[in-house]
Amino acid sequence: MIKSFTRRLALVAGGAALTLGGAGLTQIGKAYAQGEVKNGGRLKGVLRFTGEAPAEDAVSISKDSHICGVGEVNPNPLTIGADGALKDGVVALRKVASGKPWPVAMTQPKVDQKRCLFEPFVQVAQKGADLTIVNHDPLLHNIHTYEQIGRARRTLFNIAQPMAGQTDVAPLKMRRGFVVEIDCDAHNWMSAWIYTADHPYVAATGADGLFDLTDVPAGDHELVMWHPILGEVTREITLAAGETLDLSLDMKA
Amino acid sequence: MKLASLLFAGLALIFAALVQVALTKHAAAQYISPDPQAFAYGQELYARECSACHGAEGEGDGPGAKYLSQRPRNLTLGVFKIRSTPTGEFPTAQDLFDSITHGLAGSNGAQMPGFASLSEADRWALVEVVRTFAWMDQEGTAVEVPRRPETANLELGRQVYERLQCAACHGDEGHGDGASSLTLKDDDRRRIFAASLVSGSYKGGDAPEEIWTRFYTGLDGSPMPSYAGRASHDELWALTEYLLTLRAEAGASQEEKQ
Ligand code: HEC
Ligand code: HEC
Repeated sequence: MIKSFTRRLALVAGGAALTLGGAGLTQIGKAYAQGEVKNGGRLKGVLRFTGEAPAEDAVSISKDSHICGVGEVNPNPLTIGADGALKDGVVALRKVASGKPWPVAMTQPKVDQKRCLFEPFVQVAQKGADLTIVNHDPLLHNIHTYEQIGRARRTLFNIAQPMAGQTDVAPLKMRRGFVVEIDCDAHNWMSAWIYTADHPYVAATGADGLFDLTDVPAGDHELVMWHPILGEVTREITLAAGETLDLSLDMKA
Repeated sequence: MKLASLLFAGLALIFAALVQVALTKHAAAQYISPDPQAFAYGQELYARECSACHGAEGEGDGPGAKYLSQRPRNLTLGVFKIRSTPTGEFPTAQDLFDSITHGLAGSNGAQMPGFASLSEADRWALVEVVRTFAWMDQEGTAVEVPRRPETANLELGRQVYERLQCAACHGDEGHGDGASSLTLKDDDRRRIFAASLVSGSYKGGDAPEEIWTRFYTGLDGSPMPSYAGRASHDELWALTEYLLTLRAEAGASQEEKQ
């Protein structure tokens, strides 16, 4: 019962902070401070997949073929381009207390549902941001978001969108996790992911596997590589003031 | 443990005072004021009545867990099915009290027993323990259930059932056998089926207002989504009346058979 005892204390303290600050327990901790970055560095390079590709998952399209089509879909594909370039990967720093201002795009994540697929498959966003969800299909989708915490997942919200043109905006009220899993219970092959961070030094890779993080505060950083089916890999880096690091990063199955 | 409790009580008092000051400044903030005594007592009750399924620390891993097809909730994740509050929000303390009183029994299995035999004070003490496991620093805000109209428009209800595509999971006749029901998973990634809307009990109660609230707010932790704002109040009440007749008719034909 010791754990619940300390949690009890934290909760009571959290309640005090909550009522004082107007933010939930989930938001407690130092917030990211935006400002000008003087003499920052740059982290750029390419993310690659090396090694043997894991077996493909295939889910057959079992319903609503008039909109969703026919055949099989891999809900979580591993897309590898020229020279091993890894698409849909994420390169991020783990902790940054202060740095450049948030780009608007990261504060306004959005997911579209078209022909029974989510777009985009992987994106990055500010932790705790509001997610906009649009259904373009004339049939029921239910947008079901989960926060991943270790191997567990917890529903963040689950909203039915039975009609085309429906738009909802809902907050990603996360706790200590970073990864948001999105699925549609009505169509079990639909899958999308949002990698969130409490600072803007995070990027998702396109088909060329390239990433480019600018105005990074100099110093020691923990670098995180993530992919929906490859999981997470971290490594330490040191960035000097004004330095550009050109990195070749590898992920394996 | 004695020393810890004393220390805890002292600290809690200080914090409670802080909260009190803060509360008077921000009347809008919802916070259930902590009651250290009820909490200590609740912990004993929890260890006796609940930990066999939910585990000593509320993580859903008690020794009895493996005998159940639906996992005893990992209470630390703070996700609850039976809520009068919008999807993604914490339940109210009353919601938790009701779940502990009645248990959760539905067509997916009757695996969370009810504890109506415990005194009311005991059940409130358990609410406090659950709230703590769940890191619940706020109560959710209950949605307002509009008044039930005097007349039931069953034809409209059937149309709304179709338009909102409940059948995708629950099936055309409500037997829980829609095309999507075959591929549903809950938060624990375990198989789950859409509830039968025809027979068996409902996890959140059978009263018309309770049924209305279930599809309006969804059952977080399961695939059952929230339909808040997806039809007018009249239409959602017509849908509720339709669901009530599905069960009443099934009940009637069952009686005929006997
Ligand atoms: C026999 C095993 C068992 C016991 C004993 C038990 N539970 Fe549960 N409990 C469950 C299961 C299984 C679920 C999940 C039910 C579901 O998801 O439908 C659950 C779910 C819950 C929930 C979540 C309700 C919701 O709305 O999602 C709460 C809260 C809860 N239990 C509290 C308690 C408390 C407090 C006690 C002791 C007084 C207790 N339980 C005793 C098995 C048990
Ligand atoms: C994506 C699939 C899905 C859709 C669509 C869906 N449901 Fe459900 N529903 C479920 C599942 C799964 C459960 C069982 C949850 C559980 O047992 O924990 C459920 C349970 C229920 C319950 C039982 C609640 C209780 O207290 O036990 C009702 C009532 C209900 N749904 C009504 C509806 C209505 C009305 C609609 C359409 C407006 C609808 N559902 C659409 C999946 C769905």
